[in-house]
Amino acid sequence: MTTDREPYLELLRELTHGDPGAYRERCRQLDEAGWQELGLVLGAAFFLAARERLGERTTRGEVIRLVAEVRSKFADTTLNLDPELAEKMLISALTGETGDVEDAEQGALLETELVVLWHLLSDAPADKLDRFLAEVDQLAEEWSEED
Amino acid sequence: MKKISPGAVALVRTLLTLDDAADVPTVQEDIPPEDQLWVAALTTSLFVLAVQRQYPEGASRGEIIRFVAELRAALPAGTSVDARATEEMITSVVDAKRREEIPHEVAAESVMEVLQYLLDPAKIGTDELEAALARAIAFAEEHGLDAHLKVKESYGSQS
Repeated sequence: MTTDREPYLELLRELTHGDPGAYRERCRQLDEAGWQELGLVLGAAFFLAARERLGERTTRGEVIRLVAEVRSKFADTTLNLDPELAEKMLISALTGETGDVEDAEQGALLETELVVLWHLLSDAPADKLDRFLAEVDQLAEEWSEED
Repeated sequence: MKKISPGAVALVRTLLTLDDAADVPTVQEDIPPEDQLWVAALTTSLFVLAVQRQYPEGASRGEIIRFVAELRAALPAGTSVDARATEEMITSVVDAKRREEIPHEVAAESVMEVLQYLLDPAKIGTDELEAALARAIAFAEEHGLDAHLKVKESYGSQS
């Protein structure tokens, strides 16, 4: 990957497969523009990962169970994702309708994206993750051109 | 020992078998004032006893998260219940040391959804439902509005 989005795609790789300390350190170094670009990359990654995992015919129950699976992994920590928000975000990724999440607080959206992405991607083999990141790069590019 | 009025018991039985939880407030409007406290004591006793029956050995937070997810997944379209409030209500029974302040209306809705899920006569049978009601009536009559605290004290002395 040689695009200008590479540092942010690498951040996503570090989040899911790498060194959490390095990830946090890189995030600390981001300026406002960097956070915006990371937000775009995470949004594209969440959109693609949700669609890959759930598919178009997913039921509400499957979405609820997936979020419960994610939250269960953090049951013994202080992290307590809002399940309704996470479900709305996943359904929004599947339907393309963003109305239900537009008023959500940005920090909560970002945290939910990160945690769900970690869950969905942490078991992906390296070659699959490479392909996934290339798709994320392409979608992020398309979205940035639309704006 | 005070006796729960038959009217209060009948109302709780009706609440448990409602097809649509949205009808609960309508049913509750018909509760005579003198029965309201008994209805509260009885539903509280039922809730604690039903959760104890579900988790006789206690439950981890992850188990409770997955249980509430199954409950919510089984709700009819257009119906919802606050997931985290319901988890906290169940946790407060399983782990007496944990008490979260849940707004009364949210708590009442969570309790009723859990009861309808765990005590659905289509799943457990009418006899089991009546047995659960009988146990809850006995407990509520013995302890009145302190039923919640008293049942928790008896729950394996976890605290």
